[in-house]
Amino acid sequence: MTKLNLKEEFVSLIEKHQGIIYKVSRMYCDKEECQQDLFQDILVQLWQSFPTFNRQSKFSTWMYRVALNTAIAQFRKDQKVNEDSISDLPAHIPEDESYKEKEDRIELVQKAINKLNNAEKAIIMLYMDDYSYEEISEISGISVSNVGVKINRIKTKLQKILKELEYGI
Amino acid sequence: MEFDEIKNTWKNSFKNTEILNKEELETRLKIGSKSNTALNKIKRSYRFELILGIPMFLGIIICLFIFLNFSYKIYFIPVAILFLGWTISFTWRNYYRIRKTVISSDQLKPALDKTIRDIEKYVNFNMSSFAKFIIIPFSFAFGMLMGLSVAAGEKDFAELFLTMETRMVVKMILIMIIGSAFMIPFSQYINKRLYKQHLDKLKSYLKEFEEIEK
Repeated sequence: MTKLNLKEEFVSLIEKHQGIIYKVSRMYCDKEECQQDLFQDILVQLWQSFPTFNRQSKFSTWMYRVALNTAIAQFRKDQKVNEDSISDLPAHIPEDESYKEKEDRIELVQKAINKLNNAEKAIIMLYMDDYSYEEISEISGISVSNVGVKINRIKTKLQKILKELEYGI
Repeated sequence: MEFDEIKNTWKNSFKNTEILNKEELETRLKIGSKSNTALNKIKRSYRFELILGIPMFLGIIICLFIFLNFSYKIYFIPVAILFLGWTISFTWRNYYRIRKTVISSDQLKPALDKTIRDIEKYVNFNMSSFAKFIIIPFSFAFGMLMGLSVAAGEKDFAELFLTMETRMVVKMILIMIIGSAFMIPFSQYINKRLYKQHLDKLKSYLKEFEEIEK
């Protein structure tokens, strides 16, 4: 396969699955600028690693692995989650109550996810993206039996964090 | 909030995300990225050492050729070629090995483990005894001797040594010891500052994955 064909194939696959890059970027960065940089870096790393894709696994599985490996191997200074910003939405947001509520909820969930560690983020993200235990195990390298147990623990932890954030405990 | 609600909220948060078309993706690929992963940082560091080291190597040889007397040239130029060439070849060898390394597509835990081993392999956190006690002191001694021989002008190499005052020799030895004593921890400090913090973070991430298995 020529390099041109390879690039065409790659771009087509990425166009279809680019949501994965967005999800990983948002999961591992809470600031917009950091998310944009991570998106760009994951895209470039995927292209550089594309010749190693052996087509035996699904493209999305391979893509998740490379994207998560890139996000985890990045050096980021500790990001401080701004606790006050939950009620600090910008004033120019449309005054539609349901819209504001929805935005508030998204921000709250994002904040709760940010409080998980890297391994927990990876597992819960795959779970929320409807991956099976087997696929989560294939991507993360954690045994299938442990994936189930861990997902339940992360769910509980996430709900506890959300409660703390909602009620400011 | 029930978990299903969390899941739906998270999924809905991507609904308005801008989708890039093929042309935009190709443009982004052309732009490239200044990756902040440890291995890419190491690659850049080796590349920088080569870009700086090769012209310096050639510059030193040319200077020796221009400024030294013939009797000195026959000693210094081969030693300089061997010594500087050897250090550059070492950097080149490491760069050559690491340059084609791409981010792993392995499972997360083994990939993290491999990245940690690669960083420890390519970053000289604890300088070898050979580098500490031979290369660095030799660099100082060689530099001083070159300076002396340029200053000696027409004097013969043997004559230069015989006429050197003891005070001068002691001074040179002191400079060599103090210079090396400063350079060794300085070089280790730079490596630690550039990579140690990153390495420690990666080790803590690996621990997170190991704890999940417990």
